[in-house]
Amino acid sequence: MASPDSPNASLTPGVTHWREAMSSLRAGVAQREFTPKVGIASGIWGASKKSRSESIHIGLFLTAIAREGSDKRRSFIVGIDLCVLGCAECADDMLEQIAKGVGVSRDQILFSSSHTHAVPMPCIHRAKKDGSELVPEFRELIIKKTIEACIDAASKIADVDITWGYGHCDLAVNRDLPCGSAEVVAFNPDIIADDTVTVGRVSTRDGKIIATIANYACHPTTLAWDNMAISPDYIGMARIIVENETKAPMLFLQGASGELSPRNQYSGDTALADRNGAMLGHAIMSTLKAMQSPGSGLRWNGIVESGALLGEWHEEKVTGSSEVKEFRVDVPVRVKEWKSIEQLREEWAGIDPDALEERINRATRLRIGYESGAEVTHPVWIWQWGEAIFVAQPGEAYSFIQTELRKRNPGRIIFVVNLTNAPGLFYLPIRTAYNAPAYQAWQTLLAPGCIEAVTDYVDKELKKI
Amino acid sequence: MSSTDLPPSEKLFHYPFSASLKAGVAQRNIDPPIGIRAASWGAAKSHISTGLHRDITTTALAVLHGSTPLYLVTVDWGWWQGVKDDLNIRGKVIAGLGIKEDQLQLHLTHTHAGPNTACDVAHLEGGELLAPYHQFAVDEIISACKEAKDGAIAATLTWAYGKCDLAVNRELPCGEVDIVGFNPGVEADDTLTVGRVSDASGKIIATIVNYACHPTTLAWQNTDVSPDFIGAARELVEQKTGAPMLFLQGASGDLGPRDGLVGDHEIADKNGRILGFASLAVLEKMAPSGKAMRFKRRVESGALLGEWEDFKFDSSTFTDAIRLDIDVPLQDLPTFEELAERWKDIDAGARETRLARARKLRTGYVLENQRAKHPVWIWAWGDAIIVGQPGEAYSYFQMELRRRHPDRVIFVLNCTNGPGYVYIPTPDAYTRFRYQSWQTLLEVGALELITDEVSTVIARMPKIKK
Repeated sequence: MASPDSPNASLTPGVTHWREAMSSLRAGVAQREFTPKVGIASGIWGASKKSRSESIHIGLFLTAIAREGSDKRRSFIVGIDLCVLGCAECADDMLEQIAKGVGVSRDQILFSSSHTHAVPMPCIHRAKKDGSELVPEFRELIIKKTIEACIDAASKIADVDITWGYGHCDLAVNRDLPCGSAEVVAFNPDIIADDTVTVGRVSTRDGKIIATIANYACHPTTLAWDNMAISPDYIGMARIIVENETKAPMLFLQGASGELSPRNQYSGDTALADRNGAMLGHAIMSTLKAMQSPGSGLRWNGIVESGALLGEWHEEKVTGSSEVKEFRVDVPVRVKEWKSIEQLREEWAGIDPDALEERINRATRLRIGYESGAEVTHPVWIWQWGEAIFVAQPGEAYSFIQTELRKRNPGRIIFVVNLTNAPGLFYLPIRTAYNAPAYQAWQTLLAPGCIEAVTDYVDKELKKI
Repeated sequence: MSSTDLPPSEKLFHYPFSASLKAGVAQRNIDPPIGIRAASWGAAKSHISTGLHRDITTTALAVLHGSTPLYLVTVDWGWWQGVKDDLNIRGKVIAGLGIKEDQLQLHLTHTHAGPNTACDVAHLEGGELLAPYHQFAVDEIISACKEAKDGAIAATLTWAYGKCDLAVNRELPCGEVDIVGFNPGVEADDTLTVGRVSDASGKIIATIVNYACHPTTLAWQNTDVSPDFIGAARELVEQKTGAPMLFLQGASGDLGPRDGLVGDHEIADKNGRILGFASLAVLEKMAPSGKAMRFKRRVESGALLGEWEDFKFDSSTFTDAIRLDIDVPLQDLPTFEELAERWKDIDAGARETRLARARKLRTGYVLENQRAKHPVWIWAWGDAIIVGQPGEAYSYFQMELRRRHPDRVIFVLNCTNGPGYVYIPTPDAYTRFRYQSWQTLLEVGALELITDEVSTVIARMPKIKK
């Protein structure tokens, strides 16, 4: 510091303390592998000519973080290498069994699929395919390992500091490509994709990292119909890089990626999935490295007279917020006037028979519990964990929801998570996607305006926090 | 769907920024001896090195412009205090290579923990080691340049932008003045510019990383020689690619690391990893060497999908090398007596440092009539433009050039060649009496003038056809 005699010694900035968004909580983490047997029906591609998996690219993992409040109430976030939970019936059954096994209510768990498209679908109602016979066993494995991980994570609950931050990653591109009178799901170089990666670093009070949480929006569709390996897609390599560096599990949460995917995708080459994963892994590591030491912020230390007049900041121990609020909102939305299954069958009559059956099966199972034109609700879980907020919902929302919520709430770190819990396992596209029309608009059950309604509703809730 | 439903033809292709040139690379360690003079900080109590944090290196990239070799050379040193120091190294390299001055951009990464570059401090503690060390460095730079040129092969250079959050704004308002310190209230330019040089087989032979952030992690408390954050960034990238990395300091007049002004090497390494990981992410994003993408076909699946495929294409072979000497206005410069009076109340050591710097800065740069000629070197390599100049320009310079020329990838280099080793600040720096405005000799408006002149030259360059 400058000598007290220096005329500049008393110079002080307006703000003398700075820190990142931080939380001080009680939490624990556990991870389990649940890779199924090779041979199980895997992948969800209508264009695929085979269904039986032939190898493992990288094992499948689920990561659970358990949080405990001062009232001893516990809640869990689980990130799992699954595409989706299957049909509404299968999803409901699985979530029910998991909640029961963990000993909490359904609303105390955010069960979130990473959305890899190179895994078996844990649904017993899909058309029977080669390898389907191993699916029931796989479902049981998921349930068992999830319960095990949640209980293990809860047993490790301790005081933790979490530092939150935004970073950038260029893996995702826009995937709504205008193609004459419609859109195809393909790289569109003309639209810039949201590049936000949201990261949390969970550390014990002595500064040891025990987990990272990464939220990024990009369809894990590197591997497609030519791939017969079971794989977490790009999440696998991203996780390997981060876990090797941090020596702690990484929980991946798929963001609002309805219209986002890797630029290089639809491949049978697992090396490409690794390249895409390395891009994300390195971006997460850069964000983690940019964070101050665990449980630390910066404090103005004073002026130093040198060749220039310098200002020193030093690290200081600080405690993040322990404020916790976890609730569910059911947002009113309207179901679109849909075409009957027979009409769809007629409309798609010319396409490849396997692709047709895949589409018909999906459409049929998706409609369970919904009626054409009806007023329904879409569930959203809003969890405030200290200075970060998780906004999770079951659908595949377009990135609009995350860019908009973050824009409207610039002071907050917001994790926006697709494919979490159930029901509502369909796209939430923006209005223009219905005009295009894009695949997402005819896949969804909801009418135009749904994502805007959900975004506005959630934004109002965030403002109350 | 009929064939008329295919995407419009202009959307069928996606090309990376690239170049197809003859290029070679070579790297040398130029670690100085312990005990050498390393006086970058007025506040330091010791001005000699007591150790080495990480290797000090020089990396040379030789690229053929027609039959003329151009050398882009980076050195883990701080800055030149005056033209004599600059020419003591650069002049000898030019002579040793037998080239013209404009064939070389000799760039200093701007570490503030490097050995002294001055050639007139032999009488000071540790100064006696400088002359032999500088000669050693000159020999190694020449040797690296020769190796790079002799080993030049047909190479594909791929360019891309990314982002990195290492840098923060370092102009902190404290009452009526701004001091050099982390300012949480202003966002910093986070652009990271990366080049990948590959041989015909696609093997990476070099990477180029251009990022704007003062290497001031290590400060007066540190007595070890260090490349600062560049060391760990380079280690990470070189380990992954197996090829030398050239780091080029961007227009960082107003930018520095948030965690800095410390003596702890670990912090320098942490800062380096922020940059290193960000650079690796950009490298992973790049298309395979020499490949572009084109729309291949529609695929009926659960959804209607569209497949793209890679295809080989011929990158631009365009090169250009231009030197500008931009007529810039100078401030009404105070006499040295006036400067001594201005700084009479500060620590005597710090005052002498400032006065010595002021004297050397003017020599060879200041002309009559309050003017100077500020040199800028503009090289075009395919889609990329490399803009090097000796000053410490504010990030406005790079942001503005990139904004005006989105069809190019622009590398912007501070601390390159000379003379003109001065800050090039924005107008508000003058009104806020920032360090940069009283270090510089330039008048308000010089930054904008230089930016406009360089932009005009870039705009005149032929469009690269794909």
